[in-house]
Amino acid sequence: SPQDKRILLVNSQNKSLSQSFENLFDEPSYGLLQKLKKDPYTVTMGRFSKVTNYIFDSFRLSDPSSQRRPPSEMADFLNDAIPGLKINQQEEPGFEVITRIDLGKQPEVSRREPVSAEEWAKNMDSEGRILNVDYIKRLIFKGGLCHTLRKEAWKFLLGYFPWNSTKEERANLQKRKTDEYFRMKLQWKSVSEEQERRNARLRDYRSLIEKDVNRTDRTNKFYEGEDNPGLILLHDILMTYCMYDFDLGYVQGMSDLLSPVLYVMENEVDAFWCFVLYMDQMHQNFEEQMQGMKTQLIQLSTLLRLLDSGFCSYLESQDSGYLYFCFRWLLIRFKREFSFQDILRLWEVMWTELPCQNFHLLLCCAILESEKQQIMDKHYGFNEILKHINELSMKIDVEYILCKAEAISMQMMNCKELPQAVSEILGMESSSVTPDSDTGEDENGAVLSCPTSLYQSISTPVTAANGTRDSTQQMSETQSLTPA
Amino acid sequence: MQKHNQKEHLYKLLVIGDLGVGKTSIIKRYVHQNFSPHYRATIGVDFALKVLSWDAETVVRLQLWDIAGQERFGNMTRVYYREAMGAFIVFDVTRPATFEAVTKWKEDLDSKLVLPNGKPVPTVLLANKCDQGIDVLMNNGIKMDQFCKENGFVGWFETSAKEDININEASRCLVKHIIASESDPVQSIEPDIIKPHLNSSKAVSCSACFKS
Repeated sequence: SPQDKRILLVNSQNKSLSQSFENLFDEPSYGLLQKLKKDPYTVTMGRFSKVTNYIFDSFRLSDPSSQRRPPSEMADFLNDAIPGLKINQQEEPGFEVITRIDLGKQPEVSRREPVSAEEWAKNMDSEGRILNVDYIKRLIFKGGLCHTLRKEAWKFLLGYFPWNSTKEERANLQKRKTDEYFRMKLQWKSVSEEQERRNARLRDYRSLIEKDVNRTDRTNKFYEGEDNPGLILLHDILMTYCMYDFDLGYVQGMSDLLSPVLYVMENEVDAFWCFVLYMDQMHQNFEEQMQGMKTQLIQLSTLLRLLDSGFCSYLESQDSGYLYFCFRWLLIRFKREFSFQDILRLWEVMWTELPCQNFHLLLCCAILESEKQQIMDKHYGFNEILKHINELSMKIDVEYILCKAEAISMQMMNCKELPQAVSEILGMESSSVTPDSDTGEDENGAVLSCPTSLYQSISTPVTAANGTRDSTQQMSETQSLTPA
Repeated sequence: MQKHNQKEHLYKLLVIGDLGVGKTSIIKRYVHQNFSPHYRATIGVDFALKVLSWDAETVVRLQLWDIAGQERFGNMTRVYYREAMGAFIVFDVTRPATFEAVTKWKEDLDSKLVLPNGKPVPTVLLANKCDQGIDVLMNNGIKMDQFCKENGFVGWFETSAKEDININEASRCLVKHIIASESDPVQSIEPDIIKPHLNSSKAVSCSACFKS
């Protein structure tokens, strides 16, 4: 049925969009196609399904004096964005304009104080197990950690220490991991000059690492000056990582990810293993095809479209719909956009994996939404948008943007008709696959059940146990985070 | 005092070349008159603006696009080429491999960017770190002239960001060629803002097209 076709198309969106990104990278002609064809327009619009109306909203709003593209050109753009689609001649020409998805008002969100050493200790049993993991994660999400706690808490957040491990188990783990680290370190340390002369890849990695270590956070006390031991640690850990994952080796940006971790750990072995786990999250960004980057850019554009279709249309009209200007944000998780201290805060908040999957993409949305006014008012084009976003570095208030991103997450979770693609990105899918969503229930039902499952994961265990579908109520509970 | 009939030009210039050849350092030297060996590795792109009083009637504003050299980012960072009017391709005289990469950068640039008149953008080659004394070019000036001719560079300079050698000269050379290329007869009239790729015959071969 036509309905099924639509669903199929939505599912294939990521693949074809990602294909288009690849085409884009290979082709200089990423601009508008001059071809004007009606069919792709219809199909494309059909594929955007419920989101379609956004584009039309923005056309309706469009000021005749503005340089917005006419619908026909827009069709070309969309067409360009999704190549490889089979044109379905049977599909009824035209498209239905569905009521705009209303995300409602952005809720007020406040943050709390960083978790104190006392709070942390109170949540640990006599053998050192963390007692109420969801609760403590929630506290970290809402306020971060006080600096003295980071060295210990980051190991849990990154997954180096299991939350339910005892102090003794952790000590044993560290012992094993220390041996393992030095075994790998010895591997590159014992390569002779002669051997290295015959090993181009190792030579290249080493040369890249030496270049980058020399220019990573050199204004930070831990890495400043000529013979700072911090530099040697940075170097040795990155070299050992090459031995840990020789296929990836070293790619620019990785030293930016390691530097704060090492700064907090103040220990070579712990820093290495925490970095390994952080790299597990970031690995795809650095791979040959940079698939992680492409996927994230597509996901971000899906989220932004739901949040602010008008802004999306504007960006598309400036050939900036692919959001390349977020490249640095995504590649190294905002490392260059905030001060060193702010990055420690931002990362620990993101590592809680609350309130949803891909929270960092909502941070992107929050920043973009804050800049939208200026970008559109001043009618920035491709170059100006890039420059403007690039120059936000060190000018963004971390607490403000965390609040805003959280507020956006609430808007999306509360949305009754959240598009499938969006709930997938935010991770509302996996836990919502219950038998009843497969059977008789209609599409809406499945989407509706998503917020519930998400809240279960973010609220305190007491609230989660209710499993209620009244997300509004749960939202108010999660907001007023009172210590258990 | 802004003169009444003063003309102002804004040019987008690309600075490209292998990783660690000194692109950022050259720009910092040129724009801020300083040098540090510790400038952070560029991720994506960085920007700088240099204003030149070209002559009594002309002010030239150069928007310098400092593009990351890491090869892996190339697919993504190449979108930054668009609408550029000129380019510097930089290599490090102490590392022959970075010179070998120059032709690759040039070919890549020319394949992705042409002027509205269909010609390649004026490009100047910079042999950087010439203060290091390990010059692989060593008295190969004639060969370099030949190399530039063969590869379509409008000129080349031995530069040092550290010692402030030849950077202003290289820039003036590039700007001179840009101004000259602007007065070239435009082969096709394109009413829109500069969209070099629209003139390229390659545009029609875009795999994203729907061909009937």
